[in-house]
Amino acid sequence: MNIICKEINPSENIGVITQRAEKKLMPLIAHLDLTYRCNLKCLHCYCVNDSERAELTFPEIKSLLDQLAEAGALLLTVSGGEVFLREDIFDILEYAKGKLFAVSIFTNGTLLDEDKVKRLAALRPLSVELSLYGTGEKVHEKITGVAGSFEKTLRAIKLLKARNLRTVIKTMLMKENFCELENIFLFTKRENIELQLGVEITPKTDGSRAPLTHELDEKILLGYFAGDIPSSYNPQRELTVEEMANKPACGAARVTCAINPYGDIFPCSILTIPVGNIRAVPFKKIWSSSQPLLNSLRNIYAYGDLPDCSRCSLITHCRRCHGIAYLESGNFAGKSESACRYAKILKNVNQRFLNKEGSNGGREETLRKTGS
Amino acid sequence: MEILKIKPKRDKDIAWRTVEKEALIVNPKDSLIYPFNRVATRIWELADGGKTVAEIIDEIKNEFDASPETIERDVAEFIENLISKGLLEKQ
Repeated sequence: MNIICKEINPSENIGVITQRAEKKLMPLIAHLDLTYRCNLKCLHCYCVNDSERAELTFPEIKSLLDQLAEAGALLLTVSGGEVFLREDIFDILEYAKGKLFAVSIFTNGTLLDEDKVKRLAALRPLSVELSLYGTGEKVHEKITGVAGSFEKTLRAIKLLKARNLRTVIKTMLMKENFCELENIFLFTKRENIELQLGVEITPKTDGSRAPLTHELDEKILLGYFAGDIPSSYNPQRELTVEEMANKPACGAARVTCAINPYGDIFPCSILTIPVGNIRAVPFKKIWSSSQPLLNSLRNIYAYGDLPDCSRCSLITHCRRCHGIAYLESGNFAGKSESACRYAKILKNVNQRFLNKEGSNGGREETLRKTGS
Repeated sequence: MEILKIKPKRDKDIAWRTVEKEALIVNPKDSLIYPFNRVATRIWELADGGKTVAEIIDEIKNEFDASPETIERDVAEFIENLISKGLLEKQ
C-alpha cells in the first residue's frame, strides 16, 4: 500500500508543494492586508492608506476566509499597516485558526503586551514576524519616525520568545541602518531568533519612487552580498542557456494571491493590479476567470517566457519580481531595472568567489563563534 | 497490538487543507509541511479522536484495494509515524 507522507521544509523545498498547487490552480499562499493604518511612519513603507475606502468588516473577512479555504489557500499571511490596530484582530485570527489556516502575522510589535501575546500563544500561529531596524532606539526610530517604538518592539520580541512562539525579525537594510547590520545579526544569534534581511526596497503601491531614496548604493551592496552576514556567499556555476530559459519565474497568480483591506484581489502582494473585488464578485469566480492579466501571468512559468529577459546573461543571478517590474515600468512581464541592478552585483560577487577572490578576512569565523 | 486500540486525533494546532482528496498538512511547531496522497489523506480525515486504529483500518480496507495484511501493517505504521511527529495525539 502506498501511503505517502513526505516531510518538506518549505524554506528549502517549497517547489515540491507549489508545483502541486499550481496544477490545481490553488492560491496556496494568500497575503491579506487587514489595514493600511499604522502607528509608525517608516521611511521606506510602500503602503498607501486610502482613508476614503472602508476596510473589510469582520463578517466580510469571515466570508473571505471561507472562500479562500474552499479555494485551497493554506498559508495565510496577515499584514498591513499594523494589524493590531484592528480591534477585531483576535476575532480574525481565531476564525482563521478555525478554518485551519497556517497563519503568519507581520507586525511592528508595538501594540503587543503580555495579555495579547498570551492570546497569540493559544492560537499557535506559524510565525510572528517583526520589523526591527537597529539594536538601539537611535537608528530604529530614525526609520520608524516614532519615539518609544524601539522599546515597545523589543518588549514584544521578548514576550513572544518567552511564550515559545516562532519569532522572526525582519530587517530592511538601507542607508540609515546599514551600520547596524552586524549588531542585529549578533543580537538575533544571541537571542536565538530567526533573522530575515532584505535590501530590495520597493516603490509605493501608487508608483511613487520615494522609498527608493533610502536604498543602499552599489558599493555597499557589493560588500553586503560578498560578506558573511547572514551567511557567506555560496558561489554557483553559471546556468547554461537552456537552464536559464527553464529557470522558474515568479509564481504570482499561480500559487499566490493577495487581498487589500478594501477587498481588492491581486495576483500577489506586490503586483497591485486588481483582478476583482470580493465585495462584488465571489473569490472563486475572480480566481478562475480567464481575464487577460491572470492568463498572462499563468503563462509565465520560466524566464524563457519573458520576452525582454529570455536572452539575458544575468538570469543565473536574477531575482526578478513581476510586481516590482510593474511598479518600475508599468509592464509586469518587462525588464525590472532593480532586478537587473541586483543581478549585475550578484554576478560580480559570484565571479569574485569563483576566482577565489572572495575574502572574509577571518571575520566569518569570528561571527560564527560569537553566534554559537 | 496495542496501537489498534488507541483513538488517534489530529492535533488542534495543525493547519491543513484538502483539495481533490489530497491534503497538505502544516505543523506550526516546526514549520514542516507534509503533502499527503489519497490514502494518507483518508487516514488523516478518519483520525478524529472518535475511531480506534482498528476501526480506521477497517474503513481503509473498504475504500482501497490492497491485501488486508498490508493495510493493517501500513496504516498502523503510518499512524505511529504521525504520532511521533506530533501531528496526531493518542486518545
